[in-house]
Amino acid sequence: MNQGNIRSLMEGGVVTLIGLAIFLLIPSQVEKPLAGETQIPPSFLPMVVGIALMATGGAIMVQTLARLGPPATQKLIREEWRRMGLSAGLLFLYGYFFSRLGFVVSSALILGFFTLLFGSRSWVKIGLSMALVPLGVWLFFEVLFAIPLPRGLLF
Amino acid sequence: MEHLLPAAQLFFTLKNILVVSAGLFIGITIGAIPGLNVPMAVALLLPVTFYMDPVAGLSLLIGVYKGGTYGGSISAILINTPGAPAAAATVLDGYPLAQQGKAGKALRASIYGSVIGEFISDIILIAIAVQIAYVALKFGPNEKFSLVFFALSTIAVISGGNILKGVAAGLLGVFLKTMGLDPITSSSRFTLGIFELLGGIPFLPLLIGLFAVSEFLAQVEKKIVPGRKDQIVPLSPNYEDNYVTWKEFRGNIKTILRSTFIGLGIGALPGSGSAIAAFVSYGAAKNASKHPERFGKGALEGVFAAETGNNAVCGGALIPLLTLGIPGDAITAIMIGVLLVHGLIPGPDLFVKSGDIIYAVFIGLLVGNILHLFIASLGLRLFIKILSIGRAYLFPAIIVVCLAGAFAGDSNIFDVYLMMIFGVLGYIMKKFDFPIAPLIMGYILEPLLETSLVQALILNKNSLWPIFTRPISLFFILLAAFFIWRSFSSQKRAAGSGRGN
Repeated sequence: MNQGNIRSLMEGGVVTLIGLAIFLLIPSQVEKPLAGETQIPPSFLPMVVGIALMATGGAIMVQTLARLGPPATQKLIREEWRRMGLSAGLLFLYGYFFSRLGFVVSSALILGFFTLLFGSRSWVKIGLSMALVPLGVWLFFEVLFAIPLPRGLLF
Repeated sequence: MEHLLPAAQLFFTLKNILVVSAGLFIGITIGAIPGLNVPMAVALLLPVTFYMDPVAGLSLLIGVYKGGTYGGSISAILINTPGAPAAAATVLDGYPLAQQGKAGKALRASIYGSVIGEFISDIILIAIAVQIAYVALKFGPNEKFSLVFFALSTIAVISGGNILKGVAAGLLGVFLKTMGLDPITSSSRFTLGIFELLGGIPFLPLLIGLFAVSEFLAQVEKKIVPGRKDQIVPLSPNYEDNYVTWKEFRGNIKTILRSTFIGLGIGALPGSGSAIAAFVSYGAAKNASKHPERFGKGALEGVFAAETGNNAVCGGALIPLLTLGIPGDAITAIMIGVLLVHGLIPGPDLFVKSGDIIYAVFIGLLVGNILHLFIASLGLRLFIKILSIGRAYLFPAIIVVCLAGAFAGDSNIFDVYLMMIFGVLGYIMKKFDFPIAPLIMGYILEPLLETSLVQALILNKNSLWPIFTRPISLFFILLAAFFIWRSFSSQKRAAGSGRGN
């Protein structure tokens, strides 16, 4: 069994687990209707989805074992996942500071980080994008469409 | 006809004309840049449409849709990389033409083909949409349920390589929409104790996360060599190399008409797409050509065929969307979201209850085609310049727009975090070849599925059997079975030929 097939088996396993989790969580996560019995209980569709996901996950695994499915096309590279993980972490930090520092300041900071991460080394261009992009987006939302964006301590 | 005058009054305002032009401009720009795609652009502009009236909002998104489908040809011709999947067939002859110094000619052929394809398909859409809608008005709960079942079966077609993964994504979309309050009993489902989830998973963060943030993460993972840029083929200084002559145009009229009807037909089939239409049109043009040997080496006919075919899809895709409320792909699924936000239920009722709005959108489609011709022709050099903007500045700017957009929906920071979670989910799905479009389809179709199922069960006294005995609902069930069978058999064939190779 090659690495692609192992990956496919794991994918099928994850889909099955998601279905199983939905199915098992129904008693605790779906409230019973106050009006008593109904034509279709609120748990009906989540239950169908849970069972269907388990069946689909199982089918993915069977398909892999029977080697009917196409092989995995993309390789998983650790460096790529590291860069993605770092970016996702920065994004969550951006969300945290978004409401505290305000849109313009937090966006300027995140733009600086990301342009560096994307490989730019021109400080003039980085500085310009840090200043112009947040202001431009702020003007577009706040002034042109009157859509409020968070204002923090600084702006 | 009684809707025409109020619709014209509704559409012909300076604001709407500017909105359509802006949509086209943004669409062409996004379409031209490899790595950015039309669903992403539509997702980013969605929050803005919430603050517009429905005609302006829909016109903006249709402008983006049309502009983006055409825009992919610019990078296909100039840098040998299609900016959008729809332009993949344009590369075949567009880039060789550019190498021969005829980039301008290929770009103009692409504009003319796109605009004519769109125009004819829009006229046919307008002509037949009302008739289909009036037939669909007679649908009862059984027919509606079978129609939703058919729409969900198209997930098999849009899943690409692996149908089972598409089905899993579609089911996940259905599950995500069940979170929040049950529409019938108002019982809470899967709120995980989070107050904000009582209202369900909001559409905007889900959409922006899955389409835009996931693409951002997919781009950021690549290591970039600073200063490296794509080689853009320059335009020739000779006038005749940059324009399509009348003789050349006349010689391609048959190709343009053939490709328009191919694109229209493929677009009207839910689950098909502009890339398929472009390749089928290209193949048909090659088969019908007196000089098939020129294809792939810089045949203007090839560019006309591919570009007319892919843009004619736009009008075709709006037929099931507006008349039956069925999204054929991710973009039309997003448009359903726009309609719902404005309290308009897509489907045949739309023509009765909001005929003036629909006809105003139809006028917008036709006006948009004329504007498309002018904007694409006059802004050609500008769009070529935009191609040289570095990714290092483009993608960070996009993430800032994403954040502002996700926040703008409900002015709620929780939505921003949700967007990020869905961004990571979208990235993981892409990494493991799970298609995203079925998830959106499942999410959009879930309410209709659940309500029509309940209504059908009440009507049929807890039995689903009448769905198989009523002719229209049986027709949709058989159509769904055909779509599923066709998708599985083509996947099996592809797997077989893959092993053979």
